[in-house]
Amino acid sequence: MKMKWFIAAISLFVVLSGCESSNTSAPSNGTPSSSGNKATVKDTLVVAQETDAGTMDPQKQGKIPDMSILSNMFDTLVTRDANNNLAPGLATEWKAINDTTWQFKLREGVKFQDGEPFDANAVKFSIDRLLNPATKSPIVELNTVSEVKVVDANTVNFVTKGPDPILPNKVTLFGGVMVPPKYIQEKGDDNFAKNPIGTGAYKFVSWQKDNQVVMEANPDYWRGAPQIKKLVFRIIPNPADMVAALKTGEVNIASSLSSDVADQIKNEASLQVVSSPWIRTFYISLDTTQDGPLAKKEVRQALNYAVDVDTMIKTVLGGHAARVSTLIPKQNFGVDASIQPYEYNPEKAKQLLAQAGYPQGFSISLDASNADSSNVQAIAGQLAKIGVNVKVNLMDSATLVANITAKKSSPMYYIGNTGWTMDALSNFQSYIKSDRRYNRWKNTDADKLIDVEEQTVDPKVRQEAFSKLQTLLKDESPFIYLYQLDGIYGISKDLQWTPGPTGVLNMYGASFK
Amino acid sequence: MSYILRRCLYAIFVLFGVATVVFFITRLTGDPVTIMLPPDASVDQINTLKKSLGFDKPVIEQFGIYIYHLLQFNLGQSLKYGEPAAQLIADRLPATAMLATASLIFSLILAVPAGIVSAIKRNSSTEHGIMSLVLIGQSMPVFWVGVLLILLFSVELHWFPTGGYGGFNHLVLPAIALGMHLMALVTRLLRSSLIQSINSDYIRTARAKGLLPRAVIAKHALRNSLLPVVTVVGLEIGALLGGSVVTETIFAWPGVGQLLVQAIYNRDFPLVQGAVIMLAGIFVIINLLVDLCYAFIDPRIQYK
Repeated sequence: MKMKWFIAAISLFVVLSGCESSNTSAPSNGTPSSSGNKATVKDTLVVAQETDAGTMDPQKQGKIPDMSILSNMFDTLVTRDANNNLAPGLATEWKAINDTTWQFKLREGVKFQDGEPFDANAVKFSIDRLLNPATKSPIVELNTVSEVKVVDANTVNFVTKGPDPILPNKVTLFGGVMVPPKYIQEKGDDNFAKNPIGTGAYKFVSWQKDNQVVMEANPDYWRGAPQIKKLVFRIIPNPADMVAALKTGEVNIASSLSSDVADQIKNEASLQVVSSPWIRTFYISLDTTQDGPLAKKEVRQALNYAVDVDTMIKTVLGGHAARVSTLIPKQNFGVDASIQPYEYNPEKAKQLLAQAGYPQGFSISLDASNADSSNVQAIAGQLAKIGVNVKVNLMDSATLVANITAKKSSPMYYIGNTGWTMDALSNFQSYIKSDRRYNRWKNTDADKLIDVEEQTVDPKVRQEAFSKLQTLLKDESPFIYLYQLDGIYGISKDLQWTPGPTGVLNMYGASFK
Repeated sequence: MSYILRRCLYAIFVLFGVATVVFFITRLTGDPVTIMLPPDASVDQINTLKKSLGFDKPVIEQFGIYIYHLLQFNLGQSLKYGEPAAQLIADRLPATAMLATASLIFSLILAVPAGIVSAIKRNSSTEHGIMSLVLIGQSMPVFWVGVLLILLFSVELHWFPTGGYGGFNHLVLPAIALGMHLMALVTRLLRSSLIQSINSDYIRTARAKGLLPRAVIAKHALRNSLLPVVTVVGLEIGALLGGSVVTETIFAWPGVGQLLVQAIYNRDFPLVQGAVIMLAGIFVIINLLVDLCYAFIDPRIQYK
């Protein structure tokens, strides 16, 4: 009797699985067989990333994974060209007409995906909505704007509270996204978040949270319809699983891989590893405000001499990183290439420690996120060679950030910063001036120089201030300067796509070979 | 009847306790506003957001508001998604329930026959074979089994997708990974419980009066061995619902477990609270149902 039931259940199971597998060639998310589906895969691009967006309302998000998805449905006023220079987007040109006014000329004939025209009123509506406290937007860069004035149908003025030299940079992402006024006023905020409408290359189709976002090509896109008809963002939190999905052909792009995961796909015939310069820059903050070894400049310099960053890049990071001399990645405005990074010189480091009164070294603790474990262990190992005994505290990244903000972190912490405006202002903003949130080093010269670069519009004057700041930062060493990481992507070989330096996954230019 | 009523009162008491504990524990993990805003945010902006989310009030007042809302079945708004937490959890429950049911079916289909066979054929090579497999099944952690299953059945054989939510195909591997442990547990439990029954007097009597061996096992021994199995399976259903966190992450399965983990990382307090209370509620209800089931399995048990 029981055997009969058992056999019946097993056969039902087999029959069901058989039926289902013959039906799954249509949906985009799961095409396990790599052979039979080539034709359908060709007009569908599946991109995998670790985290999902929190919302489809572009003015209520402030993180790169959210922006990656939304940048395919929405456009910004300004964008970037292949050389990372500012380039026309929904605005065709812009200039500072005085210290506190930026004027933008808008592209004519652009329509939102529901047919609503994009014009100066849409810009004013978008920025007003962004700055309205009721929106509770986490986007803070445009808080320098006091008012947007409509000059004519295709011209707007951004009036700022003080000079804002990098306003055009700030409208390349997040705050620069333009939303449809009429649609939002008629349908309401909640509806807009469920069925977003932008001017972008892809139209929203569906979103199942933590699973996938589906989009289809916008045939009327102002740059011309995208080549690939259907775009899917799949959320795969586990890196090993993401690579497995790439190997089976379920996804075409696996984003933000670590170098050890990338090694797994190096030898796959159908895949390629693309390592592209990224602006995420890493360093170790040193607390100079407390009494102790870090209050001494010689000690801080010694720590910089003691870390062999070039070897670390070659070994721990698999070559997927580039050296930086201070906090600024090489693509950003303000970087001074003539300032050389610290050389690796453990002898000099020991000498400096002895000079500072620590010939035997000292013990100190360092906070870092779990994800960066191997990198900080390598650094701790190198510091041990000059007698600095580092106790590493690993924690999840949210706790790390919360501790840093609450000023409860250890004397040293390891952190990265993506200055996505690609101007050194963003790299320095929260750290250097004495009154800023993450400041742990007080220097009146630095404060003055920050004021100059933040409040002057003239690029020449700003560059001069940045150069002086970098010289000062290298000498004073309130940080251990490390590297900027590359963005590492696993991409199927039949796909043509170039990643950008901010890590935002905009798929407009992608095509299948 | 009064028994059920009393159990329901206990349940409410337990849920209130859970709600209190989860509220204060989340408050210990730090300030959600600092994580929501980028590093460049000014102190003004942080304070404005804090105020609009109600985090500027004293913790006790926040707790009062939270309990008041809870009594009206309002779990609050998620900080990350800006939507009602209850809605977000309800959206994910079907996926989690589907996975739990599938892994339960998978484990029972294999465990019941395996348990019976290994009890009847004691000290045979069949028993040793089954028990070694069971030991392996119970020893392998789910995250490892999950990755192995993906490597074999997705990457090498292309039978099933590597993860994600979709049709029956997507369900097979996560259900096996999640059900493996329960299968091993039930097999061992059923085997030992059955061995005990088989050695008892009433089975000897049943055999002596000439019943078929099959009927002896099915009608007499098995029925009397089910009580511990039902207890454990009942408790494990709760664990399957709440404990599928790892499985859901490995297989990118958009269920409550993944929602909860993400919510914890984001310090999304209302969502963490809501998900924990919801899971605790399910656990309590299942426990109650299991207790009530005993009466059907063993008529000697009566509730007073």
